[in-house]
Amino acid sequence: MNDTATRTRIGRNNDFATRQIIYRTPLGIEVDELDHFEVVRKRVFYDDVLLVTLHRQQTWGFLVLTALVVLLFGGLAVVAKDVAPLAMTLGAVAAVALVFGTIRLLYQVEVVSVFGRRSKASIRFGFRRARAAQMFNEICANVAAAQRRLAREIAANEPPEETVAVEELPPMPGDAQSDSAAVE
Amino acid sequence: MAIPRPAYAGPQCPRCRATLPEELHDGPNVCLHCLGDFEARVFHPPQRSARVLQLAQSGPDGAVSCANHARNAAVAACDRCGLLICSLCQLEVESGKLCPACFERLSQEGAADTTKTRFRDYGSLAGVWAFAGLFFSALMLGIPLGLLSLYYAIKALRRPESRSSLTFAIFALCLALVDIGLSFAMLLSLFGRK
Repeated sequence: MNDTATRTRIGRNNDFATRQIIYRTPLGIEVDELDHFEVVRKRVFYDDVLLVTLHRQQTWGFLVLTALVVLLFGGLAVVAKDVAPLAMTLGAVAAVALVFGTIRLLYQVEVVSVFGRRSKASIRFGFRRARAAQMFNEICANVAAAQRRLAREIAANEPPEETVAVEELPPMPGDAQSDSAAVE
Repeated sequence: MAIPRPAYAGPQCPRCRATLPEELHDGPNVCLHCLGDFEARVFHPPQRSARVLQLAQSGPDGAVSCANHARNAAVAACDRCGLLICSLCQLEVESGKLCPACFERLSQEGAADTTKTRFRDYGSLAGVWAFAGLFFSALMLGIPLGLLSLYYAIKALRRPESRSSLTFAIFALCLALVDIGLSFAMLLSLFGRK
């Protein structure tokens, strides 16, 4: 599990308070949370997964930030309209932020969440809906395969059922009568 | 320091983090709390169960009790301390079979690789010192800070688990070389004038 050669980066999960990089390994999902100069690693093993979800959500933080950039640089461009090159540069920055903000507003963010028994992982896909759906399906397939494998392993390791030899009891007197009646 | 979050307590609504009812189904679902919709795939993972051999079951010959559970028969010896342990206590890690106490000790010391969950992010450290070196390169501090950044960048490149981003580590390495180059250029220009 710690072999970094076998893990591939599949996405990020960033917000104002969290910076996470998500990796996929043969045994599960690894979440590297960046805490200043330390990386804290969490794992969600495929064997442990209870639920995988996919949903679309609006990122209000990003939209507020881009709106502030548009307002700030747009305002500065208006103020500096006498100096044409400066005004054009500031306006270009505002325009780029506006384009990014509009695209994000329309497209929203696709979030894949993997809930295990003891831990969870979330992966955000900004502008890649198809990639999010593909990742959701791949994770579900990996989880199903891992849990099938585990079920087979458990079944193989279970001890064979002991056959208990049942001693035959002598027939009861009432049974003998009913048997003879049945013969008659 | 990251903002502490409430402890994870099982599957939640991916939108509002409210606890989900147990009767979820595969396909589109709606959270009863926030009324948000989401696509779900539900799994029922099989439970592992340890088969514990009782001392009474194992017969009179060669039955030794576990050091932690007197009624259980020992099935192995700890590879580190030699303690006899039952199948409940036996923990299989990369180095072999360990008893719970040795496993705890090794994971606290960081000796068992699989139990390590905290790593120094040398890539970020290299980046910080490289930027500091660039800022103070006029004071000739680019040489020591650049060398420090170089040391961390090489460490980050050599240990893949100790870096958050390969691109950033390479960028920090290049910046460290620029720091050293700039400071040397400053020194040369100073001595050249004299």
